Amino acid sequence: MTLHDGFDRTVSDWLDEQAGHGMPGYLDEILVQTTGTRQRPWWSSLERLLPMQSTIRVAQVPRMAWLLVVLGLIIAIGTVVLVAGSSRRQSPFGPDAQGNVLYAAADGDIYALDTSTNQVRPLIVGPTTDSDPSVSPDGTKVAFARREPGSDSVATMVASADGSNPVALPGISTRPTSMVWSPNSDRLAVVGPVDGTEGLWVIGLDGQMNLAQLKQPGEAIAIVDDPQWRPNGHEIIFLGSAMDTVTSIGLYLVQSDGSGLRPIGPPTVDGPTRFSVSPDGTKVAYTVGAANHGQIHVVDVDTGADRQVVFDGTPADLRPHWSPDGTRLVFERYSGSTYQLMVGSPDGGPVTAIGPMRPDKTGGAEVQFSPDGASIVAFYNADKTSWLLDPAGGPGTRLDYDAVSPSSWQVPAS
Amino acid sequence: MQQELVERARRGEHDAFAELAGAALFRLDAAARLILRDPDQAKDAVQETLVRAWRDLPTLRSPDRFDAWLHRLLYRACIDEARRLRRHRVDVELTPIDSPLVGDMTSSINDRDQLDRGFSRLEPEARALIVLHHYLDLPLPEVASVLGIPLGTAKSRLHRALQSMRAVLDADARPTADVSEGRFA
Repeated sequence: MTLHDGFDRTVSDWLDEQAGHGMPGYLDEILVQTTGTRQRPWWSSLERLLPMQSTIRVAQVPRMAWLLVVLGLIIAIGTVVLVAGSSRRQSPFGPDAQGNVLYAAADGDIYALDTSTNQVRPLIVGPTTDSDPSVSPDGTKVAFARREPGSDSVATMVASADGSNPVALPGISTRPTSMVWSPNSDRLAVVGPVDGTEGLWVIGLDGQMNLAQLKQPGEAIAIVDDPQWRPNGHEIIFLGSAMDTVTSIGLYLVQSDGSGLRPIGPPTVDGPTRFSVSPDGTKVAYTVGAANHGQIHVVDVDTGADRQVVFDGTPADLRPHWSPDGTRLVFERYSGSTYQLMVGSPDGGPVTAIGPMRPDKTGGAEVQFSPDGASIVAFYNADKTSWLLDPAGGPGTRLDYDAVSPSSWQVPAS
Repeated sequence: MQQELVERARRGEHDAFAELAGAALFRLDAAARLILRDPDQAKDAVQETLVRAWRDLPTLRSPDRFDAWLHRLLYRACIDEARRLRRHRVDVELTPIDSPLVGDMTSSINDRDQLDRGFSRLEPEARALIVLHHYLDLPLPEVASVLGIPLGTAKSRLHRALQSMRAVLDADARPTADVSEGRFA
């Protein structure tokens, strides 16, 4: 018997073998967590009251079910009125809100934390599961992911900065891989399926949608990740892998209308990987290589001139981010089985350690400078803790909230 | 029996949910490890699945669909984890799953390596499709329902995924076959 005879059977047998037989040992851990988790009320899912096929079977719904539907709608409307009412009573966001951090909690709601007073207030609450808040650069809007109870789909919502008036972006029914605001806050660059088509999309709040044409002579881009806008608002830089050589990754630039794809430097097997566009949009800082042998480079977006940034100490550095004034980079430095965040000049030289040491695994940290560059909020993927860090150095402060995804600085409305 | 446990868990009886979770844990963990190729990420996905299951259980309309619903939650959790992982792919070493030495003795170590390589090259969505059908033994209509895609799409995607795995084996087999011919001719 050759391997290809009965290939399906071979695959099944191989999967059984790979799965092994050992019982995982973390059931108690999960049950501790579920014990502390409140169940959603049965009426919070419309599907419980209104079968999904009901749009074509309305006449067959019995009277009792209709009564339940009406009752459910009354409760839902009452909930909406209460939530909307409480939102309106909150102070409007503005310059006084400088320093707030938005985060999604495990209970499925989004909260705003005032980092100066440690006060938390609910921003977007309700029976839906809301996550991944992202504040627009002008501070007037917040985008986030929303899953309705009992639903398979995840909508991408845009609401006012105080959480009111949430509106779903058209065509998105799964959580995007990436979602990034344009500099003037009127569009979002989204990686993921829109209307069922995977790709890099630019979605305007006016409903206009552009799909980037990720093809150039002899090459089509198969995998797209981490789109970032240049400050001009007309161009997007992203990581892509060529269709024919999916093991090579390169930096690419495309116009926001989907045209004009071009590479920034040649794709290579080792990278570039995580990158950050400088505040003036002329340079990109990026990583080459993986943990324990990573290097940070800076490339000129227009000329392609590339240089390694040589920091003091053992160079095993990853994932640089620019400060708002472009004078500093924060990045992860790996040593042995741990890593720590460092701050240094984009010209290299001495570095300053900030925040806690973390195990070298599961994705490093998501960091974001505050708008004034005076603080950094970091979300450590390994243990899902959030920290407020001083770029000048020090251990930082663990934020006392249970965020499930990276937080976003609230920007004063302009 | 399971339906009774689901009913009780829906009413908030945590002991009943613990029993359901215990019964499902092995297959959820195994499926997640196969899809994600990373034990830690798999644990996160299973944890997310079961916490969400407990939280949303009262909203489940048909208790007899508990298993299908759980598979759907697991699929979503795995894809969410994979997307997170994809964003950090440079930092994550995809650890090969420890495979026991016992098992299908007709499959050589070399064959297993080839299968492993072919399987690893697939996108997580495609791996999930194969795992749901070929490991959890869900019929294709059920797989399509879990993935939220039409049956025809599920069929064509499964076909493409298996073809892609076979392509790796074919590519690896080619030079070996040449040598073999020389050796045994």
